[in-house]
Amino acid sequence: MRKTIGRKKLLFAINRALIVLAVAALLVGLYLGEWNTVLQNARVLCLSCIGLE
Amino acid sequence: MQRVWLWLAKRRPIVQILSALGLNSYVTWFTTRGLPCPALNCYACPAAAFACPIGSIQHIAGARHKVPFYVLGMVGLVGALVGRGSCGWLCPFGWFQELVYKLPAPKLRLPNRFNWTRYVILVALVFVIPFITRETWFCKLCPAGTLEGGIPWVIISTDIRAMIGAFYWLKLGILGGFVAWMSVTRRPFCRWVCPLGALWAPFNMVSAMRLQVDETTCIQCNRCQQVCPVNIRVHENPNDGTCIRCLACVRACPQSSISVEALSWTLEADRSGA
Repeated sequence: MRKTIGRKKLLFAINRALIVLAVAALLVGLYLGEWNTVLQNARVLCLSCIGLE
Repeated sequence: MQRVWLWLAKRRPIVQILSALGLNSYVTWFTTRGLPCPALNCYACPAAAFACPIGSIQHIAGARHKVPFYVLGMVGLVGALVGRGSCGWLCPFGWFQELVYKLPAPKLRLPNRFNWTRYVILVALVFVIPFITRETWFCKLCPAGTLEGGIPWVIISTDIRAMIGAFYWLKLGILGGFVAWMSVTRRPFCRWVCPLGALWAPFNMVSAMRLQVDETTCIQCNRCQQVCPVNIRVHENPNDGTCIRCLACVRACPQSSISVEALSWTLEADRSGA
């Protein structure tokens, strides 16, 4: 029982840490202007995707 | 809350339809195209409302040689919250595979061996080869792109139709091969190929939404594996990296041994709704 509770606590801690890391990466990316990069790339028709390149 | 989850689980096909429409709802194009899609949905689709995360990663990391913090952050956030749940509920290509499997054809129940191929594809086709060649090599081969972008564009645009070459037919052949495979095996692209699924798979063990099995009530009848769209022995490893969190096992378990653990509370199967 203790092992299970200890393991669940560890999993929760890892989960919270991952969420914080993910949000931090997201914010760093936004700060570096990657939103615009993704937007411009997504707006241009991807010829590779449709098999023309 | 548990009734809401079970009610939703029964209506997963409706959620998948709404997701396919929502992710390809042209009306939000100008506001949402900068957001990475929470599923594998090709942004070459004429109506795609979001950016494909795998395409975006290749473009930023491969073509521009930069770390795709923003896209990886979004992918990581989804993974940390629901693991591969997006695969089971939101992905239009996953839904397409489930539809194709309903076609009358001999069925082949393949074990989940060689699932590591999706990691090889992730590393090689999404990171290494695009980094070396500065081209989006997974996009060049992706069958989802052919289905959602290649075929619609060829139908609606005479200019695009005039540009068709051998490569287009190769992509169509790849899609055809996958369709044939999907008709005999459940979700083969998700299990052996999808790089987005490969990114999310390790999160299944530590995501906020997890499955758990009560070993004291489980009778190992294997009903969970029979209904599982990715053929997992749920009672042995409920948080396998291939699990798409469709909750079919939760609904099917005759002993209500499988429960959904979401954030800080535990959700158990409601037998009255199953």
